[in-house]
Amino acid sequence: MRSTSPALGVLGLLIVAVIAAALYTTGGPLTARAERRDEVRHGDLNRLVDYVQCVADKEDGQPPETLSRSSDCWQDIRLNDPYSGEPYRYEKLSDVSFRVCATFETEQPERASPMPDDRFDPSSGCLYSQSYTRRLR
Amino acid sequence: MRPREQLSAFVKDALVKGRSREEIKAALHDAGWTASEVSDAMNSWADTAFDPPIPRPRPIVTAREAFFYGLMFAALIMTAWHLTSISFRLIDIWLPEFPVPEGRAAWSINGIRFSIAVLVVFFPLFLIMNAKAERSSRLDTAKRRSALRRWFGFLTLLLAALSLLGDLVYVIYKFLDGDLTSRSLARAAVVAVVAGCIFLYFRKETEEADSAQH
Repeated sequence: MRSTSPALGVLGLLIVAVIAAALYTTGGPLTARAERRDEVRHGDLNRLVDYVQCVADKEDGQPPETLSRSSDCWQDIRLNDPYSGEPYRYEKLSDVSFRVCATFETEQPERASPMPDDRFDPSSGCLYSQSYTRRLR
Repeated sequence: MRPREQLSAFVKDALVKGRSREEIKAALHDAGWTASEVSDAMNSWADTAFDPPIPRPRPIVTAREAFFYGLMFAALIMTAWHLTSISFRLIDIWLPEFPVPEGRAAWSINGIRFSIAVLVVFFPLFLIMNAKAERSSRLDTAKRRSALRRWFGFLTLLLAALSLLGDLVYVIYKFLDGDLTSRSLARAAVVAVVAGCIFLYFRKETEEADSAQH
């Protein structure tokens, strides 16, 4: 008798519509997995910046020309993207500044940086930073 | 003995002693019982010439029912809560009022995924249990009289009514606060639709349960 109750029908339709909209907006499990991989990449970039700053400190504030493991700095870093295997791109931009870049799978949000002078560029996937020692001078 | 049972026992004794129903009603009325209490007590004994008086069936509470309606109530609450939660988060994404910090956006998306999972489990559960309750109450009027079913219905009505009133208060407050944006209106509309549907459905349900009792 009430199996076709309009109120319950509206509620059911609303739930189906909301779930569809939510899946469309947040992406399904594949998107979620890609987001998680990108989080790992972003974490790697942040650690690389720490590492490069440490190496620069030992070199009188001069960022290194290329990225390689140094026995002077103990940061736990990854030089290659753990999923695609391709190396993270490092570039010395000036005597103080440098950037590390990764190829992200999903559209990157604007991210607040832990350090005031670091800057993440969502479109290129690059994290820009500067060495401390030089900056303090 | 509770007053209600005491009253019912008195009506039985009076009927056994051959007093007429009118006489008993008048006596109870004179003793200060209210009309609804009197009719309740009189209705607990069938109006036939059969001696001794035949008790009418009364609402009962069984453990099985407590389990059933408890689970159904939980399923409904979870459904309403998470439906509203997903909608709020989607509204926040679609109608942003200021840039959302990155951490909060990720947290919100995870919240949406969790709520989808809750809805996928609990809404079908509610529909199945509700259909089962309706089917059995159609076959068996004793089920429709079930005290728990009424309590469940009225408790749901109470919560839905409070949500609707709270929603109205929210809209008026936001208006006075100069903050009645499309976003707060959309939020209020979601609560109104969800609580409104539940209210309408359970009002009908409790009315039917009430009419089955008399």
